[in-house]
Amino acid sequence: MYKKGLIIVVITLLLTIAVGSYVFAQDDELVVGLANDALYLDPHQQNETTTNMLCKHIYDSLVNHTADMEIVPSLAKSWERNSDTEWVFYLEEGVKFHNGNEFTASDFKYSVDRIRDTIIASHVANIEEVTVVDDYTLKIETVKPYAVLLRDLQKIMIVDEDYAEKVGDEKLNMEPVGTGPYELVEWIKSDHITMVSNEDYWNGAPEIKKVTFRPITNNATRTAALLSGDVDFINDVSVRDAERIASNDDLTLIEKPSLRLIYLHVDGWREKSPTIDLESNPMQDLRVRQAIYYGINVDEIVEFTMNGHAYPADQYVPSTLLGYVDGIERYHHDPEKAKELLAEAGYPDGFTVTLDAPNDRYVNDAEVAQAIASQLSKIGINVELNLMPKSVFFDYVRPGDKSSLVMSGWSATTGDSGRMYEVFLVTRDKYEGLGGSNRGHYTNDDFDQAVIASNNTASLKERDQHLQEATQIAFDDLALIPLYYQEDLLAKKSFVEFTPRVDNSVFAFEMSINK
Amino acid sequence: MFKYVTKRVYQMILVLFVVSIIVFFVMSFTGDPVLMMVTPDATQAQIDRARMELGLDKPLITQYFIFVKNILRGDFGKSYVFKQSAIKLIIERMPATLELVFVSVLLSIIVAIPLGVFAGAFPNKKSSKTIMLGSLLGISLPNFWVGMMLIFVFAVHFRVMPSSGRGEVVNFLGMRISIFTADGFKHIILPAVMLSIQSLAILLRLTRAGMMEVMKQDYIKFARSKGVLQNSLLFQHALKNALIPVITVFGIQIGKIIAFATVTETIFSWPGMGKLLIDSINRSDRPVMVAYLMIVAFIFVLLNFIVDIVYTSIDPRIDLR
Repeated sequence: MYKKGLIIVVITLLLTIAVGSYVFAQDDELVVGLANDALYLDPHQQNETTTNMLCKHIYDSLVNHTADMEIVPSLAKSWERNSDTEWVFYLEEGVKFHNGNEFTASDFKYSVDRIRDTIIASHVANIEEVTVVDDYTLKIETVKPYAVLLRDLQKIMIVDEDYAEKVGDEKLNMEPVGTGPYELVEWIKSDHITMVSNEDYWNGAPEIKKVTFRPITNNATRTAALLSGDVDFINDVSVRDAERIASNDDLTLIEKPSLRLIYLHVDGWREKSPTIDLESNPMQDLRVRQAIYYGINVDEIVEFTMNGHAYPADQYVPSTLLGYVDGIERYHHDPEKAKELLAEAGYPDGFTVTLDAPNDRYVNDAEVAQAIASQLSKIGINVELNLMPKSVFFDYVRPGDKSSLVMSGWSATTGDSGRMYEVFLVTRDKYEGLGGSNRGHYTNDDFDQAVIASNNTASLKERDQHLQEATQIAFDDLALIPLYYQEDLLAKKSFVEFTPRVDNSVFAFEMSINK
Repeated sequence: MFKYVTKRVYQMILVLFVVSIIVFFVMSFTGDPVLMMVTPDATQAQIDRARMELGLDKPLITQYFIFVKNILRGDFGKSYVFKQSAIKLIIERMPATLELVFVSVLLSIIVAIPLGVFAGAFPNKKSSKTIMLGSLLGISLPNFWVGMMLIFVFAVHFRVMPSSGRGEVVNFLGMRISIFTADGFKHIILPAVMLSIQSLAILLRLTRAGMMEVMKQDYIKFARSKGVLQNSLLFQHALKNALIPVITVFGIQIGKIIAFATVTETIFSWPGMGKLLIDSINRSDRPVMVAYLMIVAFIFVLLNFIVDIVYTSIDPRIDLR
């Protein structure tokens, strides 16, 4: 008897709780499920995707990226270049921080100085000096002619000098104050971040009046939260869940190519390659590198290994970015030609080589590496796999002394190919700060000079020309073998209006509700 | 008694010391945190500077001694990512975990003991056999799968429960607690069920085994013949003796529930210290991982100690010396 009573009590309790207390969201409120939490809401502490994305709701920069990564005015309403290294910016007047303080030129100067001693100092490394001409005019002197200054300024979020000085780092982080479209209400770490619209926003108050960001790190749970109606929008949908969301009438799946290129580094410029047991390094021969490219069936990888959620790459950056060359054709799978090229180069029976790849960094990375190995075995190149977790992988491949073939990825978040070339392809140890991750030991003086020239011009058009020249040289040499671009997957309830961005950011101020 | 307690405290310190060695050295094989922190385009000089700032340029043994010295002062180091005290980060999230553990433990006891008593007292009834089958499933089903299924059935399909998160909270003695609000309580049910299932099944089976053993004994027959009521016979006379092995295992089970909370918290986005551990592993945030493991080891050792003390009050035959 006693037991029966207990069971009835428990069940009644559960039912009351389950059925009761339903809270209906207002029409202008949204809940967004994110794959990660912000690390900081102080914009100057770390350069991390989710952190930057959430900070952009609270803070403004002088200029902004549009959805297509074009630069548009923000707190700087216009600018001009006086010389190759001197820029003048005219600021919006009457802009107020959330605490009522007025935004002036000195707040920008303060923010730049504040960044100088942090881990993200590279954002301001090319700025020699900031001069406050008057409250609404700024002069920026760059270290050298620097075409992509605006791309750097886009990353520099501006804090209120008085507030930052008064409250110190810790409080600024937990109670951030900016000029941005949203004000923070509450941040409970790894639980939620709630923001309300800044009704006095200088650029017009956002349509969504209240937004809650919930970090839901587990992919399946994030999808479940959307399916159950707990959240209205999620980012980083896992490929496995894509079908399920697409088949639901109330939900919309957004698919688009991401900026992340997956590519192969080829060790083709050293006499001897560490994992190839031959007198000399066969991959020094362009024909062998071409054979490898011809031997890989990118279409098959995209279709079967990536389940269609990837886009074959024809060069190193997408067509909307600087450095893209019209007319470069990717090598389509041709095993016969690959074998011929190998034979011509003197390796009719192929050789054995190790491919280093991460197994937890990119979508299906281990499977893709396996597919490449099996495809190359068909042209006689015997690929041994060395798969590693990312925490080991990047350490292992960085110096490049142990690797012959490396599969890895790069996101051109700066809007051009320049940074990628500087890091991965400029000759190692020759120019300061360049070539630090040149895992293939690529060296070509024409290429180096083109990249350096692209950094020493103040005009974006000239930079584009130099980078295009570099792209052509690197592609002719097959310094990297481009494979595919990953896909960005987002999902939302159908009544949420949102235009996806090239950089995959999710901004509440770019959303609206259409019921 | 006093002598026994001091002896146990010495043992606990020794265990924690050994744990610190294992944790520290195993951690140092988990990849280079420096390379996770700097951008891929960082120069060698930047990497070296970061390594020096974190104190990772010194030999491993030296690092270990610095680590132990700091622990003795209650300093577990600063999180590489948040630049805050690692122990503070964990303590911030502890109420959420303890709350979840508390509800799970309560749930296991409330369900496991009566069912176990019933199944042990009447092993041949059909309902007892069903209970045993259920407990077998509870032990053998993978935990994370059960969690996902709970979400898909109750949150996605029937939409009667929230899929994840913690819901509304209130401040209670300076801690954020959710079980005191209707919304918060609703959020804790599914994760607590998932977390309790395995220990529930184990406790149930142990109670049953104990009961079956006890029910055969003479004093039960005697009690029955002198006319003790059924409920009183089962829950007072029999259960008390059946509980001794249950309590031993129970202590370990609480520890296991705390440890398994990492999985539950990750699946249900429960903002507790277990989720912090998983996030920290993904970020190679070594000080937080080390501090977490040390704290959990401490809780384990403490629980076992408490269990040993509790024995005596239940079974006076056990001698602590």
